[in-house]
Amino acid sequence: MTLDTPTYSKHSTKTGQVEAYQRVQRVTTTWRIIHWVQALSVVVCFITGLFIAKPFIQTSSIYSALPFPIMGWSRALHFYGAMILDTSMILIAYLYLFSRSHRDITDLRPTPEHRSAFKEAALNFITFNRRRRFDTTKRDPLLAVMFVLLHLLLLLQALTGLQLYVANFSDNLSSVGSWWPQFLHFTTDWTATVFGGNVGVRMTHLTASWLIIAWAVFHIYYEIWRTIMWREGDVGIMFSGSKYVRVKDDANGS
Amino acid sequence: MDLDRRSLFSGALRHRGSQQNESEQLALKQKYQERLKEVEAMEPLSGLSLPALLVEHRLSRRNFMMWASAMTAALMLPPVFEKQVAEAATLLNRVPVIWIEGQDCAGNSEAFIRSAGPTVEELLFQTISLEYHETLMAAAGFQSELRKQTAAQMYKGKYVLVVEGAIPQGENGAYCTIGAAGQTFYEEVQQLSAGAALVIGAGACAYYGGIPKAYPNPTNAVGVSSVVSGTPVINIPACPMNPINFVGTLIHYILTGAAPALDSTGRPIWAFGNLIHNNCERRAHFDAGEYVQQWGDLGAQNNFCLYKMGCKGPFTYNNCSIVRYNEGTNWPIGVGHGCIGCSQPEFWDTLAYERPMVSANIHAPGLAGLGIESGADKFGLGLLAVVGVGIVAHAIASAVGGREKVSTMASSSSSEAASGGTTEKKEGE
Ligand code: SF4
Ligand code: SF4
Repeated sequence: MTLDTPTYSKHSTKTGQVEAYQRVQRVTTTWRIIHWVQALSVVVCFITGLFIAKPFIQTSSIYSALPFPIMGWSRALHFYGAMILDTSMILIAYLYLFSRSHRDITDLRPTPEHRSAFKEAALNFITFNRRRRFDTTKRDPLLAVMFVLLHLLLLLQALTGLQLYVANFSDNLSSVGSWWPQFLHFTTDWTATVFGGNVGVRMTHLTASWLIIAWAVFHIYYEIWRTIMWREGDVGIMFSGSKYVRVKDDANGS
Repeated sequence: MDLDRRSLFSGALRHRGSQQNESEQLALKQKYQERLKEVEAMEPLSGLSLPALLVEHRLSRRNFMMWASAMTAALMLPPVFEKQVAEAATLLNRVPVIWIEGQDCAGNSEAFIRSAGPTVEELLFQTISLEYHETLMAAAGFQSELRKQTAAQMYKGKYVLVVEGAIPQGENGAYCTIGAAGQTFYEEVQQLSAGAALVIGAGACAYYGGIPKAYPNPTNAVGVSSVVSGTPVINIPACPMNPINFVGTLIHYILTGAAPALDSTGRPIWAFGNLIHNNCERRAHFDAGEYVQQWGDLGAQNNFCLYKMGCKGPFTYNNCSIVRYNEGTNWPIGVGHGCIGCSQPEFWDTLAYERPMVSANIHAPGLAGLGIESGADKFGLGLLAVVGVGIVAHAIASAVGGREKVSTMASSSSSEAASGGTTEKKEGE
């Protein structure tokens, strides 16, 4: 989080007061790319997943099929999306723990400061922005915790998904060698035991996908809400990498 | 005999196809040949021999060799093993078999004997030395009991025990007793499996408890693997099991003297290594997004995929999409009905509904699917337990923290009590 050298933009409000804003750099380009790649993958996986679970498109005439194998493509896109999500998650986990610029894991240490910031952000949200007693230039502490939750859900999705994926292989055959299915069996077979066999794993995968979508809906709402209520252009963080914070302009005595 | 997970079929031969090393193949052939010689030297236990039966039933040698080549392929062996498979089939009369039934419908026995004409499997079923089979034997009562005991003693350590049906464990197994002596099936399985060379669980009920184990499982039924310990168990599920898979397992046993490679639930991989769906003749329609939407619609008439009618082929491991039933005549999906997952664990509760999995709203009614009466009972008991724990916790807390207060109050005059109260309040703060 770096504050730029003052590039104030001043606006006159109705009451004649002048508000000054300062640009705050919030996320790196890498971070933004990962964010949008993941967001797109989640959307693709969700839509194709719905189709795989219960195909909802079919040509009305049985004599003319769709011009492309729609289920084949749905499954392919679902798997590609999943592979992108899974690998990007490994990348994120790495940056989270070992990034050279900022290790996000440090944001999660339950220090008194972090705890009060989280509490204040949560209270602010449920009191409809009645109390803003935390530093909005920094990363939203509420969202920081929410993101951990999302990644736990994505991890669950990856494990159950790969278990369902490898269940579809014929024995240990795969295009990249037998080590791959063996590796998948080794890492994900426990999910079948925990969730009650293939059917249980499937149901967990479906339930988790709805939780992720519910999460995404909340996330979008919260971003828009923040932007409207705080008037600091928060929604722009993931587009431009920066937001604006209001600065007290003593000259105007506000 | 130990259960070799990388047995000859799967370990040495799986997925090698035409690339297979010839010398390896030759070595394996020799090994089988030696084993076959050994078996041949054994005394035939039943008076029936396959060649004679084939002649009697007007099945030509050509018919038989066709069957043998199909069996060789099903066992995932290269064609050069055809002759050995055929030879192994003629040697099946060397294996003593004891076949017992518990909670079942005898459907797996029926699958063998109810074909339209005698199939090779049926004839093979006649040649195996069936020492005991309640449904098929002429003896009854104490006589049959005696037969069972004699056979178990005579072939101790050599016989193959086939268990058909689930094993009820509730009420000490009293839900299923066998024979004139009223022995429970649970005991019978334990007793006979101890002396067996191999236990074969025939059908879905012997596999994971099947239909007797379906919710709410009143008899506390389980599959064979949960009861037998110390003897290798091979599960051949499906409802009914495919005779090919049973005979194939026996042929494997004749050829190698060992159980075939099994998956994590004890099913032979050569038969249960693939999803129905991956070898289904309607698969192209699945990928293309062409589904039957209603029984008898145009899609159904054109053999479209049955996924939306609840086909569970994508979740079911079996080879019926390849070997089919009744000598390859047809199979369920071939005649237009989706798979119900009969060879999967607990298929009755988890797969056997004719709707896609996501629209199957088949949970039992009542709180959290616990059932109507049983749900109320469990809810009530749970509530009672919570109240009980609360009372106990409250009583303990009162006893520990509150007693002194009471004694001060009781032993002092009213003014003192008032001051005592104040003191206490301070302490509390
Ligand atoms: S009919 Fe069943 S097994 Fe066959 S392709 Fe369709 S879903 Fe798969
Ligand atoms: S198609 Fe499915 S339900 Fe039918 S016999 Fe085969 S495994 Fe069993």
